[in-house]
Amino acid sequence: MADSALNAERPISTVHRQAGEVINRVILWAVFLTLSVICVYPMIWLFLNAFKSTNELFSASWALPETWRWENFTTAWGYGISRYLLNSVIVTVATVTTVLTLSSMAAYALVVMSFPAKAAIYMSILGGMILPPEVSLFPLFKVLAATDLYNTYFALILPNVAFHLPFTTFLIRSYMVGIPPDLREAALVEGASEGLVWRDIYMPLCRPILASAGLIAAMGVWNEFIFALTFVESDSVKTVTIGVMSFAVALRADYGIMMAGLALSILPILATFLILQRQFIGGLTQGAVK
Amino acid sequence: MSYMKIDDVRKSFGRYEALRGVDIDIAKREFVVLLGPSGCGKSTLLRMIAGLESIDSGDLMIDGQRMNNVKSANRGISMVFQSYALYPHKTVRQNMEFGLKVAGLKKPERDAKIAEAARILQLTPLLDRLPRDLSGGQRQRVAIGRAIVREPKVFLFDEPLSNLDAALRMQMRVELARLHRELQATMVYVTHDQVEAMTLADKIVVMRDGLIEQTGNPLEIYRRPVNTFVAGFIGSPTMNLLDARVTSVSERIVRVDAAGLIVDAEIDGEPPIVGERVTLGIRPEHLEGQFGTGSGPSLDVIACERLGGVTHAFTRFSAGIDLTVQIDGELPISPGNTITCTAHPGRAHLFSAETGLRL
Ligand SMILES: Nc1ncnc2c1ncn2[C@@H]1O[C@H](COP(=O)(O)OP(=O)(O)O)[C@@H](O)[C@H]1O
Ligand SMILES: [Mg+2]
Repeated sequence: MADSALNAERPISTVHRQAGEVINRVILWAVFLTLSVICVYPMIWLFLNAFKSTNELFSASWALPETWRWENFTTAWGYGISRYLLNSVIVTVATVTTVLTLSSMAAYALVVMSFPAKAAIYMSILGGMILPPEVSLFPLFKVLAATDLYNTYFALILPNVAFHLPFTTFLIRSYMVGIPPDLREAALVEGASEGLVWRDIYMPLCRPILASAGLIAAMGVWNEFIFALTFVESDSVKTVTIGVMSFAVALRADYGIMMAGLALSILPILATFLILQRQFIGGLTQGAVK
Repeated sequence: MSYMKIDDVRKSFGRYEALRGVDIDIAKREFVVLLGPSGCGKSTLLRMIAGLESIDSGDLMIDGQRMNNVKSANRGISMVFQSYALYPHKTVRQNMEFGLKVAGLKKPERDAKIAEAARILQLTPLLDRLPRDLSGGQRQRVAIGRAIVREPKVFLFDEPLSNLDAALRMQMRVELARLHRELQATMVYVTHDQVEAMTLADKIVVMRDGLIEQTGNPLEIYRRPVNTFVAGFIGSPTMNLLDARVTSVSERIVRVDAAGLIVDAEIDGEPPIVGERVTLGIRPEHLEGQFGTGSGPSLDVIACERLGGVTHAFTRFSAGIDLTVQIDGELPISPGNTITCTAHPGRAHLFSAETGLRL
């Protein structure tokens, strides 16, 4: 009886649901469109103005450039941006590689092995997320000075690694929990060592989360400012965030070239994101679907 | 001589005793099935043989060597998991190759072994596929293939067929039996399905709550279950277990009366005394049901399961006792009918009413 009542109502409720879905969709699209305009517009503005002369930039800052001045980019490149970019790439790649290696090893141990004080160790790793980098600035500076690492790549790489380990470990661990433990046991029975299981089974299966976590860490390191400002001083190791600042000071008058420099400074990380975005989205959703 | 010996093996998880002293002797090339309800410790025992769980006490011997503290990889075993545990990112070939690579075999050797295993399991056309592109049965065969290529002394299977549908399960059962013959291998196989146990095993080990209830070949266990637990676990539909009273004893033959059903049973041990309460065990297939009023009690048919050749009738005595009877599939029986039944001579079992042990 209850069944037939439900059946009678179904056509009406379907219509309702369809109308509701359309409205939902419209709202969703509107929200996302607004959001993406807010996010993307400044970037478009930056790239457009990077092709203008200073005068044009001030007279028509919303318009397309009259002539596309590619030379702005070559000039900016010549002003030392190239060196800063190279330094940023070195620091970012070294940091991200180290973080992913160490974090995935820690996560592997935390997920599959049993050892005393496991929960406490995990908690203390997570505790690292609470610590703001600013607090450790002075002690870190002393340590780096005492170890002669001040003003080297390591002065940026090591602190960045330390501050990205907790969250990256957290992300990778959450993902690894979803990998069936049978796989490891099957491999162990076949004679594999824990190291081989980590490298040959867990790492390939973790590709999506490695891409996501790596990208998050890479963006953090690329845009990192405080360490870069404090722990190095020579142009030969300065990263692009600080480099652009001194660049801006030097080019106070030529805004077009400054914009070109800024555009160059975000290009690599933007490109990385675009290349990895499919993996990135996969990493964010895959765990839930599986 | 035993090829593999499990001697008073015990295992606790915290305060919970999962295995409470287990002894099994396994001969070379024997197919041994560990059978028991879920949670009785079968997987734990198998994982201890595999080296995936430590052995708290007792000994595990394989081929004359004590294996308690030997690494999994060096025990000469291969294991097939219930979930198959195929490496999802490796092709069928790479799945089979992994263990061989770890063992340090050269490429031509590896290829030869993989080709041979693929031939035996009809996997040759699938070698370059990923597990996700295979059906359940094919995945199962890959898992077995991965076990075969390593040429282990002992194969371990943990409920390998439980994820397959009924038709495929039967096909794989036949396949496994063939494989056992073809490879001449020693196999230890865990299941809770008594049909798999009966059809595959050379030897069945019936377990309950971390202990072995009975060890023996399938027919032995079917014909002479040592207690009411084994009696009820083996056979389908399950054996009828009825409260009965001894009415007469002559040497080995004891006549009992279960609410009007009079049955003669042969016993091995001390005969009970007249008037004693016992448990009568009789399988549905050893009861003969017919229409009309016979010598036995009348039974009300509550439900029928028609299998075609035979029908299982679930009936109730006037006294409120349930009895399952297997009858000829041709008889036009239906719920609401009344039937009578008699027992086949020599097929009844008697158990102590207190301990449940076979008399
Ligand atoms: N790692 C473990 N930790 C705690 N208890 C376990 C563990 N493994 C198995 N057990 C317990 O031991 C008992 C036997 O388990 P198992 O061997 O898996 O049974 P089954 O016969 O169904 O394969 C169960 O009660 C189970 O809960
Ligand atoms: Mg189990």
